[in-house]
Amino acid sequence: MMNLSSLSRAMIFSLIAALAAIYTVWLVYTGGPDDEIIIAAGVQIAAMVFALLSLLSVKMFLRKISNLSDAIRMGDFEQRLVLPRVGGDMKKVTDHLNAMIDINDAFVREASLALTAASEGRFYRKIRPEGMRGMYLHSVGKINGAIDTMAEAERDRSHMIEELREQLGSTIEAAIAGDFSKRVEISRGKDEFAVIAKQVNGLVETVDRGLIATGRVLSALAQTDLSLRVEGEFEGAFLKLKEDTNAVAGNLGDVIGQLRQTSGTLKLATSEILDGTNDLSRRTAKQASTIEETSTTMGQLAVTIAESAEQAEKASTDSLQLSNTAEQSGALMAKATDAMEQIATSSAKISNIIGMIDNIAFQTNLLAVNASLEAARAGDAGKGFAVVATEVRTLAQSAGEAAKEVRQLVDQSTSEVEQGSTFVGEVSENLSNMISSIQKNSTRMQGLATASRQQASSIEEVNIAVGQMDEMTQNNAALVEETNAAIEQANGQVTDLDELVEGFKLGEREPANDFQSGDDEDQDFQHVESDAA
Amino acid sequence: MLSVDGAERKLGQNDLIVSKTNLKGHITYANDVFLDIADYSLKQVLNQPHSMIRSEAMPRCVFQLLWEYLQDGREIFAYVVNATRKNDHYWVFAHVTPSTDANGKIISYHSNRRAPSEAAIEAVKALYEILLAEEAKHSNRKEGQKAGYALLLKILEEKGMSYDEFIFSL
Ligand SMILES: Cc1cc2nc3c(=O)[nH]c(=O)nc-3n(C[C@H](O)[C@H](O)[C@H](O)COP(=O)(O)O)c2cc1C
Repeated sequence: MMNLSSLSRAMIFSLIAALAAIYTVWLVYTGGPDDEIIIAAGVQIAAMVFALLSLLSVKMFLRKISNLSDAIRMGDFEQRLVLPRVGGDMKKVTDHLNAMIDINDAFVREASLALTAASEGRFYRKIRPEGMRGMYLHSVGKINGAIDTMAEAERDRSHMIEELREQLGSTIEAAIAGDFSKRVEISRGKDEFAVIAKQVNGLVETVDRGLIATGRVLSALAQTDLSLRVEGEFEGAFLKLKEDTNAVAGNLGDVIGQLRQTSGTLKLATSEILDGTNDLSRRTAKQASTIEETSTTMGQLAVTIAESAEQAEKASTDSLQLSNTAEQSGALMAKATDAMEQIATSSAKISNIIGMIDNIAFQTNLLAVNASLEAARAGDAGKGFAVVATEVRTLAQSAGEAAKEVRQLVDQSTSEVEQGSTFVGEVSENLSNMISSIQKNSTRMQGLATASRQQASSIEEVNIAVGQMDEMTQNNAALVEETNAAIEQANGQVTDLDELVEGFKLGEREPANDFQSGDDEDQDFQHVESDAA
Repeated sequence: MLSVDGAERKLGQNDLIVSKTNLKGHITYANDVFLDIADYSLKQVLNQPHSMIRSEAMPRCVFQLLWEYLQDGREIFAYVVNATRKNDHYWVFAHVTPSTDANGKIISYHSNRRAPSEAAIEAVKALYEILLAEEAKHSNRKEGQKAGYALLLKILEEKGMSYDEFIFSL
């Protein structure tokens, strides 16, 4: 019973009712027993009631199906037939209906979620084809294919964006680093990217062109070539850059032209000054050397005078000593006269003694002659004695001769002593004369020494003054030297400036023509100076 | 290898197991394929918690992830092994989604399950074994689930994949 559906039951009950009806009719027709007829009729009624009830539940089932279909038609895939008691064909219908909704539900959920995921870039989340059949499977294939295409497009797009980003990045980074030679290059791609690339390239190109054009002029300026100008069509900031650069080059040219004149004049002026200072320097040096010479001479003079003062003093002292000595000499003279007289006396005595010696020598000689005679007589025995006698004779003879010579000498000395005495007398007189004149001289010398000393101290003072003068001149010379060096340096710098200014290559334009006046001039001049420094 | 109780039942290539639950996870609908393979009657499953077919071989942290996704209004795919009434088992590739009303409010949950590929099952088995072992380290069920969940996230992070990407890569 449980496995039968209501419909089957209605059919069975209807069949039973029909059979019961036929039997009842047959019983009535054949005149069967009444109680049997009643039972048959009863069965018939009961079967019909059951059949009716079953049909009622079928009707309810159909209503449920109808409601469900409506819900499905309205897109409500939440609904299912949940009928735990239904069996048989109706269960089959239920299962099939549910399965139909299930597959729709599954497909719709999958499709919408897969597309949502794809729209969020989760392209890996595609519809799983398992369990899908027929048109469902076909649609799954289509949708998944579409997702793949989207994924590929997205990949392409992101590759493009990546490429564009990289290209833009490297181009812009290069530009930031000052290299404007890079361009955005896109191999393939959509117009929008190409437009961006083109615009960026245009931007970089404009900057590049502007920088190259101005850079050319500026580097020429840096190399002192003022003849170039920025050429070409520019707009906006680059137009301003072009105009400003050209103005700088023009103004610089004017300034340099002016500067050339100025530096020429300056050069002349400094070289004149230099000549003057050189002359001054020479003169000062000469003056210095003259003063130095003077100083030296004065020094020497001072020394000489000091020396002469000393000498005079010494001379004075010496003459004093001399007069003393002379006086002593006088005394000595007197003593000498006495001595001389004593010598005369002694000489006489010596003469007498010599007479005696002479006599003794004669006597001795005689004795010696005798002795030789005696020895000759004695023969060989007296031979030795004979030799002695001969020696004695020789001695006696030489003694006699010596005595003679002494006498002569004594005589001579006696006369000389006499002369000496006379001479001493004269000398004594001279000495006393000399002493008096020495004393006079000494006094004069003393005066001279004093005067010399005074003179020396004066000269010393003069010398100090000359020394100071020398020092000042020396300082002067140093100053002149420094001035000279400074001016020489200035002259050198002016020459450098001149060379520098000459080094600038100027354009056609005449300088000073559009030369601005006043402050601008100064400013420009300063620029040139700092550039040249 | 992950050990699962009983004999394995296979889902047909074209089969679609469908079930629906209320917000508590109690079954409100199960299709005939569900009842056939799990060996239950509709009456037996209606209003029962869906965990009634849970297999001991399933790490709890996977269901934690499932519920987090669902309550967040997101769909989730998962390889799940379920137990039949007679304690046999069958592997499915489940797609669980919240159903919303016209205002976007979640009113129920829905699950479609299809036949998984053998290769995917093998890969998932290896993963579940690790997760189960991690969960088993803790006597406390909740702690175990938490540890398993953390490990799952860590494994995904090491792979550099989201959970969804990982599942679709199998
Ligand atoms: C729509 C839906 C379908 C689910 N299907 C299953 C399933 O097939 N097998 C299962 O074990 N859990 C399934 N769950 C999860 C269970 O609700 C439950 O969380 C899980 O079995 C873990 O059990 P527990 O929460 O008691 O730990 C499903 C949940 C929902 C909302």
